[in-house]
Amino acid sequence: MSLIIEARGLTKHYRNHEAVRGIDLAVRPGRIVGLIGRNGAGKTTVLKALLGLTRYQGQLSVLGRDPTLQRDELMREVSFIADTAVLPKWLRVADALDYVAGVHPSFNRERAESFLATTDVKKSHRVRELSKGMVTQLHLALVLAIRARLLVLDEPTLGLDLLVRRRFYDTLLNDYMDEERTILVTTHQVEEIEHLLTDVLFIEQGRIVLDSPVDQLGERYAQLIVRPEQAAAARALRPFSERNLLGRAAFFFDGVDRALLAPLGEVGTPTIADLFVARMQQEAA
Amino acid sequence: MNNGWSGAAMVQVRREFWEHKGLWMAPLAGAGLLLLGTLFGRFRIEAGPFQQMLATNPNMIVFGSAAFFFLFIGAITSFATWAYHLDCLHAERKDRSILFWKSLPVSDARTVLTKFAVGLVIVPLGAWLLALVTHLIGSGIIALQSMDVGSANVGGFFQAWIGAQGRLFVGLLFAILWYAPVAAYLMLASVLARRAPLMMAALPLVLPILAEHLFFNTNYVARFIGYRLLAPLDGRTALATLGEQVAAWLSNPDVWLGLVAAAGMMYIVVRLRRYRDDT
Repeated sequence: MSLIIEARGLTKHYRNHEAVRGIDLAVRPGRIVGLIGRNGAGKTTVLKALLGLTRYQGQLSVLGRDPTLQRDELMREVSFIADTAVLPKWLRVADALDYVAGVHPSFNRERAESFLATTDVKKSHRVRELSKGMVTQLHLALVLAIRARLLVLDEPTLGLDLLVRRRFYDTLLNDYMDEERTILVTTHQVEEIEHLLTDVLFIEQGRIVLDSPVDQLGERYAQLIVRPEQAAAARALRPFSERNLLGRAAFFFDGVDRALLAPLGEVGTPTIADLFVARMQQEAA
Repeated sequence: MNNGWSGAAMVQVRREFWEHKGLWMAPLAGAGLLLLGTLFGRFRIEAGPFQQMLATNPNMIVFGSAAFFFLFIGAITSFATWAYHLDCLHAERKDRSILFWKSLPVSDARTVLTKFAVGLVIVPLGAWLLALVTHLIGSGIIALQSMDVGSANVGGFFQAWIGAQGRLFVGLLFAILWYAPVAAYLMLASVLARRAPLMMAALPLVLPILAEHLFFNTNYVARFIGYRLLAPLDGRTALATLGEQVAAWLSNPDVWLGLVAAAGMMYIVVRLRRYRDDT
């Protein structure tokens, strides 16, 4: 099956630092990939390279195209939502629909309108009159109505309240996602999206430090929760990170047989958030 | 829904008028002022030398008044279109909406050329049409105020009026060619500026003028800029026949050099917008 995104040695230098340092990526269709990293780790730079918004070194192909040379064709099949503040304040909802219908060959206006009908957004509203949550709904309505093969989301729910955030992701799953479509989402609020993701990429200081399907995380990583008296024994099995819980301790292991861990305490698969924190501590060490 | 090229072009032009209201408000305000002036200025065509001139040489009067309407609305519109070209590529980065526009399949060349054409061609043509209508209404008001409609030479007026508007239209086409490099320069400042596009546009002009004055005590740069900004208002050819006037314009190499410069600057503007984001 052809890859949606393929990168080899993707690198981006800014004047005084290297934001992305030789990244390899291979994203298959039908996946929901989380690109997870701290602020300044290089997430947005990677996305900008994928979208042809910035120059880069290395090889990169998105939907089989070169994002710098074939950007206009690419954007017929790629949708992009940066954080919510990019819809211009002066834009009227009805005009936004007119505009996207005018310039996008695969925009389904009825679809956008029927989605908007389920919200409080009125066609006569201007963006400046809408709440942040309503602006997100408008942007989502525009994007859901485009038959894009790849949807790129850059911190899409930044600054939104919990209810709106949850509804945003529910809508994506129910109304957008199918086996043909692929979503790449960056966030540093890992907990919120971990149940949606099929794949995770951890990025730190411009490098991918973890690239795995979510359902294979358990094969490689294990979390062991033990009482204090077992801590020394757990430490002897060389965890890559540990964390103190209330009266107990959690240890994180990479590639250690669960049979060795089980006698010491409670063995499980770490959550993506825990794994992320553990990996970042390991990187920092 | 599948739209052809023309549908997309139409909505891209409309989008410019949504964002930059000055583009349609400025010409309308100019026309409104002119009509108020004619209504309350109580112009009358009195018996006397003026009346005689109108009878013997209506072309002169009609052309003069049509040119005044055209230049008045045109001047106000120019301020709006120059402000527009200076702002159009800076505003989208300032409010970060460039990330939305760039998420849609519209090439940078199309975006930039649409904005260039809106300010340089579409709005000025609209202003000419508006001036034409306003002049017709204004002339009607003056004729009514003179209460001499019966004796007015309506046929002669219309003949002169059509000739005058045709001449102004040709003048407008010349102005569009002449000002193309000015529009391109303003857009270049707009795409380059991080904060203040006006400074970006003014400094490369003002600094050489000052330096030249300071070190050589000459003013070639200032004269060059003045020539590019004001040459279409040179009245010397206004009394020539239309053919002579067009020939004089087209044989002026500065028209063509300006177009080459405009094309070069537009190429740079498109290249620069290609990798501009919200930073």
